[in-house]
Amino acid sequence: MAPLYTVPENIQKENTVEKKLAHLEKIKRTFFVYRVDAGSCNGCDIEIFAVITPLWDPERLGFKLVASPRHADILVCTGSVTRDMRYPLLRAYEAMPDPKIVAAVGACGCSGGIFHDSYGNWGGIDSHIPVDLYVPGCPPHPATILQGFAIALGLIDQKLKKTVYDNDDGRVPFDGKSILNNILFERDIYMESKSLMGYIHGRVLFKKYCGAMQTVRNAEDVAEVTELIRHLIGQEEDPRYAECLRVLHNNVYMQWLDKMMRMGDDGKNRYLIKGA
Amino acid sequence: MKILEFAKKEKMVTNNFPVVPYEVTDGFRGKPEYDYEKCLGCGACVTVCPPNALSLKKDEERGVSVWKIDYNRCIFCGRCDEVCPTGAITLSKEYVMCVLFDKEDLTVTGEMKLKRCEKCNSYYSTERLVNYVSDKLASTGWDKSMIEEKTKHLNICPVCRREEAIDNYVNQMTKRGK
Repeated sequence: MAPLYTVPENIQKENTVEKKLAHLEKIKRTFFVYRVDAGSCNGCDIEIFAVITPLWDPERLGFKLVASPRHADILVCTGSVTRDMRYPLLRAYEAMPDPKIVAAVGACGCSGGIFHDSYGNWGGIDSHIPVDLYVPGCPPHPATILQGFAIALGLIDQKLKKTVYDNDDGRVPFDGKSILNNILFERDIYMESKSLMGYIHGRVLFKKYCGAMQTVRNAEDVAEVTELIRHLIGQEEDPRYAECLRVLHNNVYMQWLDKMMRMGDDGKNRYLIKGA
Repeated sequence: MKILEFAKKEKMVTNNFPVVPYEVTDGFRGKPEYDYEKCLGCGACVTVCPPNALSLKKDEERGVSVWKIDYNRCIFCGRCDEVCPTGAITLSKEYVMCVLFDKEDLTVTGEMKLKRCEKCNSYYSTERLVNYVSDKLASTGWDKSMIEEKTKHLNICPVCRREEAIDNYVNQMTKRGK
């Protein structure tokens, strides 16, 4: 879909990896950075400005933001390329002195990001001009951007490598242990805690409840379990967890026991924990 | 001069970042870590991923299902973490993930063996998923007859399963008609 741009031969000749590395060794001054917004949502730009604040201070590593691409060594591009910003991007690229280092910042710059299948999107930066450094993130953390610059200069090595796992034995680790000898009980507890507190805190709640239940000798002993959960609620510092533990006990555990033992309403009501 | 005095009182605010690692706060949405040992290849994460950073493709020639994450496109929303039934993909606090030159360094691929249908011999699901389901059914505490009934259709593909269900239904109806 995107019209093709082939890098002119004289620029290609000056921009090989060997020439870039040689330039890196020769250079004895600050690196000048020029930023192009090729149609981003401004999230990545805000993070780039966060990087040049005193909190991160890239100038101690030797990076300075400049206002003209003619002064720049590094071209920082954000955003997926749009129709209107494609030509300015190419102009900035060609105006830079050789050798040019191009960094694509953000998910959109790397590959089109969340807008990759949008009608107004002409792909990531690398579908138009050759890119040297990829900084993923939506938007990337200031530390990620700074680390990217440091990698580009060879101050630190890159950590990630392409990984392929293919030693499949056809099984996943599975623990069939259950509190009530039926994993459907755990499923009910998990779904209820997820619907109560969301998936992050719900998992903490699930672990709290099941961790406590595993210490009971007989999980079908209603009196003992009720005493334990009461104790747990009393110890809990966060009132949200305390309330949700109570709901788990009353709604899920008591229903299961009622199903298994047919306690009847009177028997059940004795062991319900009342809210504050 | 007042500013210098003020600066003397305050400590230096600049992070000494590339030398000292920066500590992120709790709940930071960092790079999704993939645990290959736990992955079932069920594809729940692939269906929810908003930017299609995750993909699951069937490679029939080699008999594997190829799961792939592309961090270039990931927006770190955590939906995959939310839906994963075994916790194979979780958001970590990792923020160090820039690469030079090769985009493919930002991908992780996992290959899982596919299982053939016992009737028509075509691939229909991963071995891990089928084994996991049968393990789970075995530990539900149901009667043996009930578990047998449920696992009867586990080793055949959805198409054959549908045909068998129709056959069963027709048989029952004809018996009742007699």
